[in-house]
Amino acid sequence: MASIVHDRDNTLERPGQRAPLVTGGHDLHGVTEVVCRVAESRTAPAAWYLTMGVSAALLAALGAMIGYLFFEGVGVWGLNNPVGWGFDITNFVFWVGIGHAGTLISAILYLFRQKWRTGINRFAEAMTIFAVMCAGLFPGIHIGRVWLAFYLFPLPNQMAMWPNFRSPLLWDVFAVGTYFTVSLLFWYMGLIPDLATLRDRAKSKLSAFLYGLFSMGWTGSARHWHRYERAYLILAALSTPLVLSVHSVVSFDFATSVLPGWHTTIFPPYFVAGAIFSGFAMVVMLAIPCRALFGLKDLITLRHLDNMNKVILATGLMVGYAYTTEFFVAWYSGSAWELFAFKARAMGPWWWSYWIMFSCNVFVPQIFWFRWARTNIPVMLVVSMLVNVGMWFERFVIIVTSLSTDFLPSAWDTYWPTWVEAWTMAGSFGLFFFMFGLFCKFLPMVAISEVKAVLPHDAHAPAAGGHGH
Amino acid sequence: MIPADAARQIAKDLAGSAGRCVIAAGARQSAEMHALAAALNQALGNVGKTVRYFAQSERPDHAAAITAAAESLRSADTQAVLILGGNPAYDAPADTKFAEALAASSAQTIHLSLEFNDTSQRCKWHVNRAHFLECWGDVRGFDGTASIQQPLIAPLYDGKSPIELLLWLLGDEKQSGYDAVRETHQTAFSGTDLNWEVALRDGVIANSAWAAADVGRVRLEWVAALAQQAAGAGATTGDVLFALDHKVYDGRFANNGWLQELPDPLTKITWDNAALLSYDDAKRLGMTKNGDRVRIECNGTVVELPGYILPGHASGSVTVTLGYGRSQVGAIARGVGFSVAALRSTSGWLAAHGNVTRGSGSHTLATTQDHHAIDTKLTREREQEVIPLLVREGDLTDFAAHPDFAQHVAHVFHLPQLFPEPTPYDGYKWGMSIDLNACTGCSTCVVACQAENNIPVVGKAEVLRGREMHWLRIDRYFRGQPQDADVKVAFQPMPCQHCENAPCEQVCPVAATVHDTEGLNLMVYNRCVGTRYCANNCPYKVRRFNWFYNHNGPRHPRSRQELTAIQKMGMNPDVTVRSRGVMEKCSFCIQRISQAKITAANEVAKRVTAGEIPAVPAGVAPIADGLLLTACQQACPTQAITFGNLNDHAAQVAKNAADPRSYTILEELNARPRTRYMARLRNTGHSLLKGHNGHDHGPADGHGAPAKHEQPAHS
Repeated sequence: MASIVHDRDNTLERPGQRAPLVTGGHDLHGVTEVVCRVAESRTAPAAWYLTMGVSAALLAALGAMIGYLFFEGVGVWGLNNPVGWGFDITNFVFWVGIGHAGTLISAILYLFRQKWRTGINRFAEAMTIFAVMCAGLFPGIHIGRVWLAFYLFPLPNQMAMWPNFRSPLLWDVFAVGTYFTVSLLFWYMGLIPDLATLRDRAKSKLSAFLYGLFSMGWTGSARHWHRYERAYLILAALSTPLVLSVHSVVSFDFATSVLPGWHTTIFPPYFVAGAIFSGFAMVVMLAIPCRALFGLKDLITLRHLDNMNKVILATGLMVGYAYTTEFFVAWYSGSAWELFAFKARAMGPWWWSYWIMFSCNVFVPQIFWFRWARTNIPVMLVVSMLVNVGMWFERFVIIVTSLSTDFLPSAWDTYWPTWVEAWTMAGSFGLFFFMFGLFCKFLPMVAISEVKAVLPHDAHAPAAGGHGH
Repeated sequence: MIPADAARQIAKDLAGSAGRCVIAAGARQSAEMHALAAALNQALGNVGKTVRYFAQSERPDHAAAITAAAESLRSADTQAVLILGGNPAYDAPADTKFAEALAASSAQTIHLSLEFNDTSQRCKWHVNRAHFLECWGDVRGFDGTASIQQPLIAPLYDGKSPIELLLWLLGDEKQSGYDAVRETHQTAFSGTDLNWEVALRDGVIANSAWAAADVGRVRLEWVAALAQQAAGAGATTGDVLFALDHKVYDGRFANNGWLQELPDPLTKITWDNAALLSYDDAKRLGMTKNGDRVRIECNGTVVELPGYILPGHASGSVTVTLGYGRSQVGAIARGVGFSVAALRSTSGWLAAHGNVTRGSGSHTLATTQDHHAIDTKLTREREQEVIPLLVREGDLTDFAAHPDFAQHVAHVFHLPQLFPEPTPYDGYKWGMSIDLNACTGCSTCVVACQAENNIPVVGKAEVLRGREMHWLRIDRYFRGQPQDADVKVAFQPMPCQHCENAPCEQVCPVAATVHDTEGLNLMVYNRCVGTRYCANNCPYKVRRFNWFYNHNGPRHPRSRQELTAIQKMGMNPDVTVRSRGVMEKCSFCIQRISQAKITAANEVAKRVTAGEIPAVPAGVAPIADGLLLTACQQACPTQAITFGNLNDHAAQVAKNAADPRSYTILEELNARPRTRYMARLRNTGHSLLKGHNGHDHGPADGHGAPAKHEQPAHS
């Protein structure tokens, strides 16, 4: 148990030598100890209790807000005739976007043999699950007659009515539903060997029973491992297209419409890039406190953060490119409606939201060109938070500005959220952090078995990356 | 001020239409101005052709009459005062102190009134009045033509008509209003040869107009004063003009929710009145936005009310409307608007000279257009760019050169369709045409639609949130900047366009909005879950969402009480009342279409049974053009709205669709709307089409395969 409170700089690329992905000189048992200790400890850091308290309160507020909404009607929100969607769908797209990093890290990086993913994939996947739960909440509660929400599903009924398969909103139901199901399966299956480890180490009967139940009789036999690896590969292959498809389909909600500013073919790649961008920012934002609070700095090293920051920089550039292209195409299309929609974004009544978006998403991540910034914890914490702010505003800008001033000037109107919407949004963060807090405390935050596979070969050698001593 | 060249053009046009034109002076104009109009009409030879004069019966001046009435109330000799209708305690000139005199009067004061208003409150007796649709009576038109007023329904609240009250006071309790009216007309008025049934059927008594009077030549000295007035004009400030409100009139309709929520045709203000003034005056007063209060002082009385910048309003004057701020009024109008009655005196009750300054603070005006929060330079400029695309206007010269100029405004790509038309529309093919030349923006259609389709009134707070429910709105655009002298107003009624390729239908996840075989864009309320996606994707923004229970419902204030039989009569039984969370929109009055089909089918069946015509296959029972009217069409006073079957060549709507003035808006989106507009023509003497030679764009252009023109299909 060497230093778990200090960061070791393992970010330097040294030709001929692999930078270690686990620092601190841990052996196989050491890795198990570092991870399992969190779940096995009877107490938790004070910050965890504080987080859980605040998020539980917000979760309660969410329940109250939803109850109030269901009781009174969607009118308690600030929506109006031209602006039929506001915070609700903004939050939906925001949370779906957050939910992208997990599967990308688990599936795509797995297929590309990016071994550094092992340190972060578990909690990134958990983050995905909880983010998609938050996302799924909003389309569910935003409809006018929630008691008829089942009309959205292709259920057999006496009217022989199908839903409208031409509607992108229906595609959303399938896309998000599939994504959630596959992500949950992927996450849960990855957890099984680690749950078995916790089961085997359990001291109390209750934890032995629960971990035992959910580890589904895992014994770690070669046959188990064989099937596990096969299944993992298959699920990774299934998830990979989903990473691209789910946000593409979400973008179709806008892209297939006729509204200027929505009706844009660039949306699918632009949304996917933005989703990965915000997802990675959220992973970084969560990783920083988790590794500090729960002593995981040897497993989630600076190198992991550095890599994620590079992804943020790259996807941030893509997003910036998309923003610029949109403007170019709006002009080049020759459509005065399109051109006005984009002028209105940057210079119209909502200019401030556009420039919050642009600054946070395009200007701020440029600092990651510098290595010192990519390895500086306070800097990356601030950047990742700003990126999330910027990405939330991106969805707000797309949805609200386009609806607010579309075709006929007579119908233009503004939108301002009510306190109910503000608390519902805060409540969704409560839901997210409450679930994530439970996960941190009671489940293995890092994939123990996978990290063991990437331990430095000479586990007893002093930690490499001596740069900076 | 009319520019000299425009004045010459007008003079030329008038000279060219001598005997076929008319010059009218407004009711607020001076006697001299009316004399001048009369002189011009005489010079143009209009008298006897387009203009007729009638001798006015001798009656006291209104101001003198109301002053005398107030005096008699103060007199101790007056024993009884009978006030038939009206509300003088609210709207009599302030200097008569009518309300105080009425309240303090020792006489037996009796008020016959439809509602318990400010006057009833000050009278000792209130008599319930029958509505004019509940009683017999008679009226005369402006030319003297007499009409017998026939009730449609027995009095719902046992009200008395003025005739019945007077009969009763005269001791003739037995005689009914009907007897009195009939007797009057068959004995005293028209003589025994009046055919009562014919007069009732026709609505008017034939040949009862007054004889035209000869007013002689207008003499020059009658109008001489005008020249002096014109010399001194321009510099005066503080003219306060009193106007009847477009919706609540003099306040008698204040307690009508439909009218309160109806946007004013020009200002689009609901649930309020405002002081209308010019842009320059508003700036001079220090107003920064609409709703900033202005303080008007007339004869020592001060009224503060919200100001509203009305583009095109004359500088130096302020217009205020009557009918608001009543103290004794029903629940709907309580606390609504500002009373300006205190500013009016017997010497100035149409217009007065006052001192107008900036008042304190601001009042929130609920308008349905031009919202302050999105009022930026960019949006204002864009609006000016868009108006010519929506409300297409041309000069007569443009029309003569290019009759189809309106079809060549937008740049339209006609792309080949991937799929054949799913529906042949070979039966009925419903369509609407709206003639912008005829539309005056009066908004009668909006209220007619509201009454027909059980459209809820949502109140000022919800209008402020942008949640008014009108299925049909009148878009009002000002062409030009508010400070411009020659700003022009354009109106465009905007119902559901019933697009053949409707963007709303494609996006609804539950198929709650679908197309029928006659081209109607249907809204299936039972199926709607309220995602609002359809409204977002509607380019015309004509869909309306029920954010709350707007009628009866578990959370509605009225939910705990059963609707009375009379309240139920206020609803149209043929139209579903929509629940919370459901989208709704114009249906082209589908209930009327169904009714017309049933009537037509019954008519055919009757004739088949009678052996007049051979048996016809089921469903072939054409509705004759003109028998089926939508509510808006029926109510339109200028017949700007036409509805009917586009497959029927003889139908007016099909003829309108084939008219060169006919166009659709946002055609470039390929939604293919069934509602067509007919371009507006102005007579300015110079072209209004800037930068267009008339044939640059549109269907005749070579983009892709030209789609076939929107012509009635040949059957």
